[in-house]
Amino acid sequence: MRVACFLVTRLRAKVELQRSPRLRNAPAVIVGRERGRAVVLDALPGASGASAGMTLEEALSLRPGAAVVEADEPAYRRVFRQALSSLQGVSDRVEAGELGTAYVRLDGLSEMYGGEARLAVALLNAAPEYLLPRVGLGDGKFPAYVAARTAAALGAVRVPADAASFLAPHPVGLLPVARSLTAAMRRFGIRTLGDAAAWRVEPLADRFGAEGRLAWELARGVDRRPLIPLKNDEAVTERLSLPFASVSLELVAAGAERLMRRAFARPDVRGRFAGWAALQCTLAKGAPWEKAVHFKRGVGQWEEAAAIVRRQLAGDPPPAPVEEMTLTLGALSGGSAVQMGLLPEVRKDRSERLVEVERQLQARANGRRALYRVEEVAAWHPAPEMRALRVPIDPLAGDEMQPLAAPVAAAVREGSGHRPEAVRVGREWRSVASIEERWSFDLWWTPEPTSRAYYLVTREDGAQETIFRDLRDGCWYRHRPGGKERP
Amino acid sequence: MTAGYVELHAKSFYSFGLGASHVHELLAQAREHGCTALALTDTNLCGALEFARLANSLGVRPITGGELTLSDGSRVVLLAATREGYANLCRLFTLANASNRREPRLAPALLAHHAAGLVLLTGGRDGPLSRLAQDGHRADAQRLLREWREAFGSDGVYVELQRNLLQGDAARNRDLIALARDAGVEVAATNDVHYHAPERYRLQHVLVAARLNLTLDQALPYIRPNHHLHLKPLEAMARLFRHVPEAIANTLAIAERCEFNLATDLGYRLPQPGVPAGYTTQSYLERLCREAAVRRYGGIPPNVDARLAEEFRLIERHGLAGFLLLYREICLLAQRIMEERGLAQPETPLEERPPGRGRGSSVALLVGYLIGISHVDPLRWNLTLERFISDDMHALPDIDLDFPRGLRDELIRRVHRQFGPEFAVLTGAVSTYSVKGILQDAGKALGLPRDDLRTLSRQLHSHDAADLRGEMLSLPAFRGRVDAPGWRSLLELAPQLMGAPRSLGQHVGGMVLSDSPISAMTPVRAGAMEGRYIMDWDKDSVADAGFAKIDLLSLPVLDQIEEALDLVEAAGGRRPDVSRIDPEDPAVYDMINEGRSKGVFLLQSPAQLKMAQRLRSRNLLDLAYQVALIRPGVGVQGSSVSQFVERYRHGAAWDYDHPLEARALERGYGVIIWQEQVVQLITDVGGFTPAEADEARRAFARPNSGHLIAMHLARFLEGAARRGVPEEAARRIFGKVNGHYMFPESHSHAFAVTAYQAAWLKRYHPLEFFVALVNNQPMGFYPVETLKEDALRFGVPFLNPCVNRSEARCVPFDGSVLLGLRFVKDVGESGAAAIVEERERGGPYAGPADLARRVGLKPQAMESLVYAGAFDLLEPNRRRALWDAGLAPASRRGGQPALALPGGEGAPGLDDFTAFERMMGEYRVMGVYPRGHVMEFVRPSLDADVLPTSAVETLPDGCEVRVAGWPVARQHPRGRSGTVFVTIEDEEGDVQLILWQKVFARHRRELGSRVILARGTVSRYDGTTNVIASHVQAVPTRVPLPAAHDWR
Repeated sequence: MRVACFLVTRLRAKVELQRSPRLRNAPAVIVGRERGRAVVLDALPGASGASAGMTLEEALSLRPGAAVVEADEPAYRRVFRQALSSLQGVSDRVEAGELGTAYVRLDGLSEMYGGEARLAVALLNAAPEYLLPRVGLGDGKFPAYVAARTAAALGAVRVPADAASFLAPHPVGLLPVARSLTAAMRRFGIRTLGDAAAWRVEPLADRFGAEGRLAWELARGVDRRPLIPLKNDEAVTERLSLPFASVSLELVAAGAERLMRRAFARPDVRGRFAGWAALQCTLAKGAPWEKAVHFKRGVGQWEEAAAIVRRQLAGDPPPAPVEEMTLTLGALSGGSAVQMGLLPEVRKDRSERLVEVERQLQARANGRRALYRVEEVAAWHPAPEMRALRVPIDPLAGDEMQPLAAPVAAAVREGSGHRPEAVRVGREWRSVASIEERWSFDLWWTPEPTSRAYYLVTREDGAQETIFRDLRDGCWYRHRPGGKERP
Repeated sequence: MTAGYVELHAKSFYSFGLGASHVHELLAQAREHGCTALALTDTNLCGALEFARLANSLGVRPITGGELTLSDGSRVVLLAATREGYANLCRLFTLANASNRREPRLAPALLAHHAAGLVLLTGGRDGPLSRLAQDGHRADAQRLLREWREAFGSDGVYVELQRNLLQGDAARNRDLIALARDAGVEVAATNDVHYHAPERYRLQHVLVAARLNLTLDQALPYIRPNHHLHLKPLEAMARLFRHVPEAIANTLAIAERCEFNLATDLGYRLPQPGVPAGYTTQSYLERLCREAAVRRYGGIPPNVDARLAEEFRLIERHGLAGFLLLYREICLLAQRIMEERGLAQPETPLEERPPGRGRGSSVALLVGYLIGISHVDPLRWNLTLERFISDDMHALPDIDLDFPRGLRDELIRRVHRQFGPEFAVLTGAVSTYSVKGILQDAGKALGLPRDDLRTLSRQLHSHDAADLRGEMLSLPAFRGRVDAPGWRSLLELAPQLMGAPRSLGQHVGGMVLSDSPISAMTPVRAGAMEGRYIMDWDKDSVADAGFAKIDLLSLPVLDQIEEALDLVEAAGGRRPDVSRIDPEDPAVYDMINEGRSKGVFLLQSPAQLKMAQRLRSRNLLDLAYQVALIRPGVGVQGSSVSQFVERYRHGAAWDYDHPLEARALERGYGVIIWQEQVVQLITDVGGFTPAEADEARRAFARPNSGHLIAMHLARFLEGAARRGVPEEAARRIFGKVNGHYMFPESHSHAFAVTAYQAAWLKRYHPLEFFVALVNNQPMGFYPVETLKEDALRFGVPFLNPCVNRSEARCVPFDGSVLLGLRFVKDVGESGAAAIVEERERGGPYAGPADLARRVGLKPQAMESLVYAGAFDLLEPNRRRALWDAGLAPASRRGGQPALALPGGEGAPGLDDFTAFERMMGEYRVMGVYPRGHVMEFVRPSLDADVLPTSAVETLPDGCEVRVAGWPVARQHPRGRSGTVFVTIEDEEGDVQLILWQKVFARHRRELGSRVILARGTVSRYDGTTNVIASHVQAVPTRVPLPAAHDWR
């Protein structure tokens, strides 16, 4: 099997340099997490000495001044996916290896491209130039991979006929086997592929089992492993901005539900089944957060999908307030193993009828929305506007969820100590006859700290109302009617 | 009734995760507000005694109370009006603890059964009344109030009103007032205090979130989100409750009713163990002593008789006979365990081979020696009585009993069983917040990434939260975050939380014994280990209460000494009686004074090794000074250690700041060495009572205690002025007081004896000493590798373990220490035992494959054995052994042995590991390389002018030098302006590097390397040799050496 290995070395560093050219000469390391530890995933050119696999502490003891760049794995994967997609334009038989490594089956393609050299050029052109890819050509994935590693940037190397001799000087660490096996091989003095190839296969197979045999074969240039082409995974994405950042599970679940409704209502999804869903949240503390759910069987209804995601969120809620949410439904297919119910579901039927009624009402009211649901999201919250949301009945409605009881500016005359003395109602000023109760709260830790002093006042006209002074901006507000009382 | 307000509902840090102020902060604030009394109502009684004692010393009347959570989650407050009320409070807490030791809940019906002497506050917003009223169950609320009135009396129940400017306060108070009026019950105002001052509210929010293991965002439903739960003065409370002034006035009435003062009214009596008919405890004790004296001395010589007479007189005077007999009873229990384990003969009298060892005052008592609670013959060791027990003694003598590790757990179980859980309870231990704990708890609550918190935690050098900002600025990965949201809050809150009580756990072995049920004196709860019960008080409160406490500690040195003596005996020699060895043996002191006491209890740290060279001890008194001098509390007093050496050893003169200091400082040659001297100094100069002086001493050790210390200083200056001490001199004298740890005087003498015995063993039985030392690791200061180097200098080499010779533990073998199999990584206790057991059953092993087949160890354990050289005698080629070890089919441990199938095809010729590879492997799996030292492999890569450490000794003072080695210990003593001492070891010895603060700051990171190269100048001072380092660099090496020990 003729295979090309497409290799982008140090992809993370290249992506970061492309994003921030100022890092070119700066000592910086890209750091990710492995088993709870901060480890170096790559080092930029200015941070010589530090290398991938070191713990952050080790790297910093060698390069004390090094800047730390938090790894952005989704971005790296995105870049790699784009490259894979371009490779699929060259051949439909592309296998994704580790980040930055792909294999392309060449059988039957050389003739089309006018020889392997031209084919290699086409593969090199599949990635943007800043990634400086390299290509190796050989009989099997492993020889091609080793060849790619020996190639210069934007160059290609073909494995010679005597593959074993070509591979011999390379370290056993390149073998696609468990790290513990290569470590064990080194303990027995097998440091290069040539050392391994020099052994008879039996001792290696006796001592290390099937993987030992595989290692021996690969070291001799024999790679029988098949190439497993990528499948096209059709997916749809929906986005939603929350009205305020919150950790409330109810709010996040309501957001996820709304996204599900939207996604399943899309014409290209309606009647189909999703194999997985991924919920990406932008958190107030900056870092992205993701929850992926693989359904045991295809899910064709938003209610079911939303319930599954909700359960998952309850077990592992976002660690910080969520500001934005993106839902991706993937592995869309036309069928599921589950037979559809024969009888219509009453609740679902009612919900769809409500949507229909809303659309009719909207048409009559010149496009003004008329029907909403009230969704209680954080009944315990001290700020009334955070307790409940107004959600359009129509899942496809463009306007988003809105808080009930949002604060609006109020005109208030203050006395000593900022005590309210009069409140303007319409065009009239009404004196405050008495202050029935006052209370305050200070949510000092939130990204936009909220600190308020509330007054429940009885006006001279006998009416009671609640007003508050924002202790950050010093202005007075009242809440729009319709808010939920705190239990 | 006079106008005033007493806060009756206040929590401190001891309400773990709820309160955010220290007890002393609450009291200082109360005093500032002019309060005459204050109630502490934590969710336990952990801080109750500390609060009561401190309140008394500040002139604030303490009211002891607690907040109990009922089964439905609602809470009530109970205040102890009388001694009986306090006992009931303790019982109620104990009953609540019995429901769930982590989340105690009390069945409401139990309140009525234990109401006598208590005042009940109905609990404000979290109280059951409020809940019932809010849920519309007004009739139920009225019924409940009537029931309480019946149980507690009409003056024993108050409806609690709270106004903290939280939504719903006004409506709830209206309902509660109406309920109270209907039931004819009075109301009382409280502020539900959670912190002493408003600025602590953020910390309180963080603690609530941390307790729930949530972020602040997630914990919002449980947080009271404003800053109005602090201690408020009368005026503020009167304003808040101007519509119900009686709610304020009633707080005074309640305070007047609560007469009980825990600090003075606890009513504990020393237990009186049973004695045979016809005897009193005193006469029985005397009989036991005289019988033992005959056994010990072959009669009662005049000096023994005279000493006993004097001790009996003092024991009778202070009523200590029962107390001493109780200790004897514990030792008898321990002896029984030893007998059951075949470690002691039933006919051996207790005093001949005491299972435990007394520490503190007991070492000076001949009575202690004769009843088997001490291991020291005070006559032989010339220990005079007056340092330990005297006519004017006010407190119980300070006696701890240490037991070997192996006995402790069983002994605790037996004591519980013998005395009953009501009468024998383990002391609590309140853990406090360290910087790492703060990062963990507060960082999580603030939503900071856990990995970042861990990374920062690992890189911290300072243990002071106030340095956290500086530490972060020095770390590139964190430099940019000091002003980031979340991190900024962490830096602001960390110093407030530093040293604050964090949780209640179990003291390692402190046990309190009593004649009456302990649950009537302090709440008791089940411990984490089954069959153990712990009390709410920690060792300080237990000592303050005057309880008879037995420290069932496991001091590893005792195990080491016992094991070494066993080995000497087993080798065919007579078992040495270390209780009667020559206490002034010049050979032993020579060894100590030459700095060759590594591995010797208390005499082994680099600082002690240097001190020995300067002090040149020749007797036990010298040694007691020596062990006491190297304590943080002595070190922080500037150059006091050097001053002491000058005065004690070289006769230098000194002056007092005032003659009144003389009584306290004379024993320390003008220097404070023992903590009793601090108390004496404050008493003599400031006119404090001993209890007040002890509180003042402790104030220095309390976190955030600036306010409190200022109060004590003001009193001290007043008292000193009355005694004619000028203010300037008084201030200088007060400046000598610090809160860092120092030994009590009796402990330093007792420890000196133990240290001397260990040193004697090292001098005369080094093989047994080192075998026992390694077997009892972890203990002491140094990694085993360093001990191995030291052993070589005593002619005792270490040998690699061997599967056919080694035991699980180390054993003497042909004059060497044969390493035990359990020291090999991945083998462990059970693996080692299995290897030995199978060898004894089926004979020696033929090779790695044979062992794998017969024992069934995990593959990693087999590999580790190969790397450790445990198969060297069977297969000298370790690479070949490694191959064989992996090839053999392994049995399942305890299952059927695997069949001895023929191995696979032989491997091609495998070369053995190189010497370097062998060393790497041995360090990796044992942390020790018996055949050599890592520096032998590093040395060839170093420049020729890099000298071995042994050469430094030969160089003159001021000579430039470069040395390299493995840092085995780093010390950061307090009071040395940031100077750091690093001991580096090479193949020829070791040398101490001294790094001034700036040099250390520059080279901190390099010091963390496995091998370092230092440049500096030789410093010779008072018989010691060091290198003052000016530059340090890391020497790259992949050798997995054990990490250096860090001491602060």
